[in-house]
Parts: sequence; structure tokens; C-alpha cells
Amino acid sequence: MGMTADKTFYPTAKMAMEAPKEELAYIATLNVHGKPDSLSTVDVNPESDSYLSRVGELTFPNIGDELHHFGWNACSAHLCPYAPHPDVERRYLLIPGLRSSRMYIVDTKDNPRDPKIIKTIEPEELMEKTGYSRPHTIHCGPEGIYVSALGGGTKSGEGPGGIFLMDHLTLDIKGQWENDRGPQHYAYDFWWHLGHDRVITSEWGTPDLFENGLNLEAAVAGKYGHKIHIWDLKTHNHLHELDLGKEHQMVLELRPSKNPKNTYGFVGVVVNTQDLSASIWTWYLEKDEWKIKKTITIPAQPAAVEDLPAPLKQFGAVPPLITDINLSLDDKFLYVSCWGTGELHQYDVSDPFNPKLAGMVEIGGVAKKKAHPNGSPATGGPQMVELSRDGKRLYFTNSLYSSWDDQFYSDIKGWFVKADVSQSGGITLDKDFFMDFGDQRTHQVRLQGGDSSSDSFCFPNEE
Amino acid sequence: MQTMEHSMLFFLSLGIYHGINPGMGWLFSVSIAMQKESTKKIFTSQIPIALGHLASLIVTLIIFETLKNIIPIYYAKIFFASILILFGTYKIFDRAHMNWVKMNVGNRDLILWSFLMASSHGAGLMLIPGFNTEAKHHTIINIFKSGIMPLALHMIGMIIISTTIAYVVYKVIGLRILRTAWVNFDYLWSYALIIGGLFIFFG
Repeated sequence: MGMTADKTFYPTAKMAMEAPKEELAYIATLNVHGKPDSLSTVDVNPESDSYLSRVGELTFPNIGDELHHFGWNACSAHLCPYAPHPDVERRYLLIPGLRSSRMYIVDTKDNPRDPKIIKTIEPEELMEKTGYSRPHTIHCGPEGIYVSALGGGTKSGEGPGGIFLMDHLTLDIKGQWENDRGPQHYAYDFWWHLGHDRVITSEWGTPDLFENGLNLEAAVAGKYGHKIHIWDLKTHNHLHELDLGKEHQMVLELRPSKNPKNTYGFVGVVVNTQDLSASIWTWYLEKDEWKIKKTITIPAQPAAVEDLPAPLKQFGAVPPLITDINLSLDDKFLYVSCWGTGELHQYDVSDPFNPKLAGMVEIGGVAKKKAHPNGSPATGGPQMVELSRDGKRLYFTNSLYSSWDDQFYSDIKGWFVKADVSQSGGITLDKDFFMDFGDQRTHQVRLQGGDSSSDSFCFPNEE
Repeated sequence: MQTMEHSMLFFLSLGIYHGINPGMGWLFSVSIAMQKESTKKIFTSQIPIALGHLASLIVTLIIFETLKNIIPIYYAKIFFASILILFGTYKIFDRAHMNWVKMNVGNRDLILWSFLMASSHGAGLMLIPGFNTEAKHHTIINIFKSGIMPLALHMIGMIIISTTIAYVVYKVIGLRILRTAWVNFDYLWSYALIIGGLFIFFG
């Protein structure tokens, strides 16, 4: 704890775009062949001698954690005026095992290339203290760390998923966040409009629906999540649910406007079971009423049956499968991963109700199997996508979730690539930036010092 | 305190000191003005913040005067000195957040927030070295008489500084200052309490 504010904290989202270039990227790397998962550190500083090499790998002590998302203990939200504690450091990464319900906390301060485990929260403790399992999204809030969890607090994970709180100083679990959850049952992602004290949560499904792979029959029957929920951040009570219609299966990543004055945001839907399209929806507040409407539709692409994996043969088409999205800190560009078709789209969302396609890169894909521009074959497709704070460098990886990877990309090999964003829009793959992880599957990327999905801000952008 | 003038300067200075601390309210006023896009909000939000702060000081003053009346003077001095030193030491390590208040606040929220912030930081305790630890004030009227000037001066110092900083940050300097000029007030605050305790003891 220092005498002045952590230099990686910014009062407003737009000010955070002035941040220096990142030098290291942390990547959750998954092993499926009886070996433990790890956290890889990659040097992304082009000036460095070890540029584009793995300069550190922290191998965790257990097998089968299935690392997925992870996040920082602290961020710009610590500048929030009602509980200002700017001396808290962005230092620890909280890394949940989505399958094991274990959580590792690692310290990146002393040697950023070689983080050390300082604490492990075992699944039994996590389940007992939170009533949840399958921890997922981490967001640092002004008064603690919030974590979403997909399952109830048992080994099988039945019951509602939700959010639990952790103390940002002791890094201990404080307990379940919800006061009255209303009709909410499924959980996945969450984020908030801090200026309006509203929390938004989304729905994937309970562990029985995802741990053994995509259940196609359940999807056709509309059994995966198809709603988002609005909550009061003050009272922890459920306020509204917005139903997208049960054909819109799996409502995943939530990206609210980074400006706390605004009351809109974007959410990605994996698949429409009627036509296999994927979609982006914009939620918004209108005259005290929360509403949502579809603002982007990405159609399925026809393909030869012999090019398709078993679950898709009957359709003769590849669904885009939007699995991750990311929003620039100035709320200008939305990045959309189409894991099925092997495309990453860039939309200009300056008008959040009329997104315009501004750029696209192609790599991998179920049927297209497009190679990287450097000639390397690329399995899988664009999946977890992270944007540098200045909005100029877009990093992404290709693994979704082990059992789902196996269904769609049985030969998947992990990779990590970068695309450059041009000033006026448009994205191009950096032909020199391709890192092959072989049998290790690459998942979420976090950038040293913060990135476009790591921080929340209490102050509106200055004009 | 040696003389009346010194004592009054002490209360005014502490008011200025509390006003500078972003945790005592000016930062909240800036964010409210930004959220509502209204310069007026700087001033209107400072009123409930000042009321909450004042309420906390009054509570401390009443407790102080009451204890003074029941404990012998010598022990009262040791007691108050110890309280300040212990509380200051505790605040060096205690960095708990307040959870219940959020960004969207009304006047009542702001009064309560400011009251709790001032109380939990020992804003009133810090004033004790300036009060007369020796004379007993047996009646409410006496307590009122002894407290009105110090509290008034303290509040004037605080309100002027707090409002001025909020206004200047909002209208002129901008929030970038939070990145460069934000010292850890909780530390300084703790040491101020401890020094105050030592002063009562040896002063």
C-alpha cells in the first residue's frame, strides 16, 4: 500500500485510454490430458528481446481445474468517491477453476513475469461460504471483488447460480451477494452501471447443461438461458428480467457502456435455434423502463456436410456462435468473436442502436479452417478477445470450454494472436504475431496494468 | 491550547484539513455534478455533507463533555489521550470500506454517509485537543456555549475548502489530478490523531 494512487487507476474510461502500452499478457492455459492447467506470461513488448515468447508459466498443483476467466483484485473503481481507497494496488490475479470450483490467487508484483500463488480457496470452502460453485467472471468493485458462479453450492451444482463477494483486502470470501433473486436461476456474466446503481446479469446454464458438452436437444427445446436480469446494486434485489425469447439460446458476455452516466450496453447471444444465426442485443433504459432489442444479426454460413463436425452435419451450415465480445473504453467499437465461422468482427457502435460493421479478420473456423497470415494452420476460431486500453491492439485466443472444443474442433491446438486496429476503424491480423501453444488450450487474456474489460469507473468522461 | 486565539486557529485549521480530504466529501460532490451535468450540484451536495459532518462532531462533543463531568480531570486527560492514540493507531491498519452507499444518492444518503465517514474516521476526536479538558460544563447550555465557536470555525473552514476544491476540480483542473496529487489521507489522518493524543497528555 502506497502513499499515492496506483498509477494504473484512472478516474474515467476515456482517460484510461492514455495508459502506456502493455508489456506482458497473462493467459489462462488449459491442459486436458491429465496435466494441470497453468497461467502463462507472454512478452508482448516489441522492444523486448523476449518479444512473443512465453517468459513465465505458473503450473497449478491440481488437475482438472479448467481455468476460464480471471481478473484483478483492484482497479479504477477504487477511486470511486463514496469509498475512496486509491492506495490499494492492482497486484493479485484471482483465477477460478470453472470445473473444479477451486480459486487460485496469484501475486504479480515482485516478479510480474513469474507470478506466485499466495492463496488457494478449495472447492469445499467456496461452496460452503457462497452456496455456489463453478466460479466464473471477476469484477473489482468499489467495495470488494464480485464473482459470478454458474452452479449451486454442491458437487453436482444444482440450484441457482449467482454472485458472491470477496474482500479486496483479505481476499477472503464474504458470502452470497443476492438479497432477493426473484425469478433468476441461471447465471453467467455480470457487470454494472455504477452511476445508476444497477447490475446486469446474463444466463448460460447450470452445470448439467454444459459440463459434458453442448446438449443440442436441450438447446432446440430452449432450455439454455435466454434472459438478462437487472438488479439494484444497493439493495442486492432483483428488479426486472428481460426475455430475449427462448429461441435465443445462451446469453453470454455483457458489455455495458464504460461511461457511468450512460444506461445501455451490449450482450452476445450464441445461437438462434430457428436459423442458427448469432446476435448482439442492446439493452437500454427508457423512461425508467429497461428494454432490450436485437441490433446485430450474423447469419449461419452454408457448408458441405463432410466439412462439418457431428453436431452440425444435420444442418449443413456453420453457426457463427458468438462466444465473446469486447467494447473499447470510449464505447466506440464493439468486437465480436464468431467462434464457429472463424471470424472476428469489429462494429462501430457510436450509435448503440445502429452498429455498423467496420472491420473483420478471419482465422480458423469449423469449415473454413483459415490459416494465419504467417502460414501457420489455425484450428478453433476467435474466442476470448481482449483489447488494449488505448484501443489499438486486439489480442485473442481460440479455446472455448474443453468439452465443447472437442465437439466442434476435435483437433484443436491452442494459439494466441494479435490484430491491429486502425484509427478510422478496420482491423488486420499482425502477420508476425502468432504463438502456438500446441496441446495447451488458450483461454482468457489479461493485460498487465489493465485492459478494456478489467476496470470499472465511477466518474463520467470529461467533455 | 495556550490562548483562545490559538485554539480558534486550531479548529479552523482542522476544518481546512478535513475539507482537503477527498474522503470527507469534495470528491463525492464532483462526481454528482458530473453525473448530473450541473455545477449547482457542487453546492447543493455540500450542504448535506456538511450537516452529516457537523452531526458527528456534535455527538463527539456531547460524549466528551459528559465523560469529563463524571471522571476526575487527571484521568479524563489520560483517557482522552489514550483514545486518540489508540484510535489513530487502529486507523493505520483499518482500511475497511463502506458498503451500503452507492453512486445514486439523495440528501438523506449524503447526510448519513458524511456522518458515518466523519465518525468512523474520528473527525470529532481530532478536535478534542482544542477543547478545554479541565473545565467542567455541567449544563447543556454550558456545553453549547463552549462548543459553538469551535464547531462553527471548523465547519466554516471545511465547507469553504471542500466546496472550493470540488468547484475547481470540476470546472478547471479536471479529474486527472486524482492520478498525481492524491496522497494517502488515511495515513496522515492517523498520525494527526496520534499527535493530538500526545498533545493532550503532555500539553
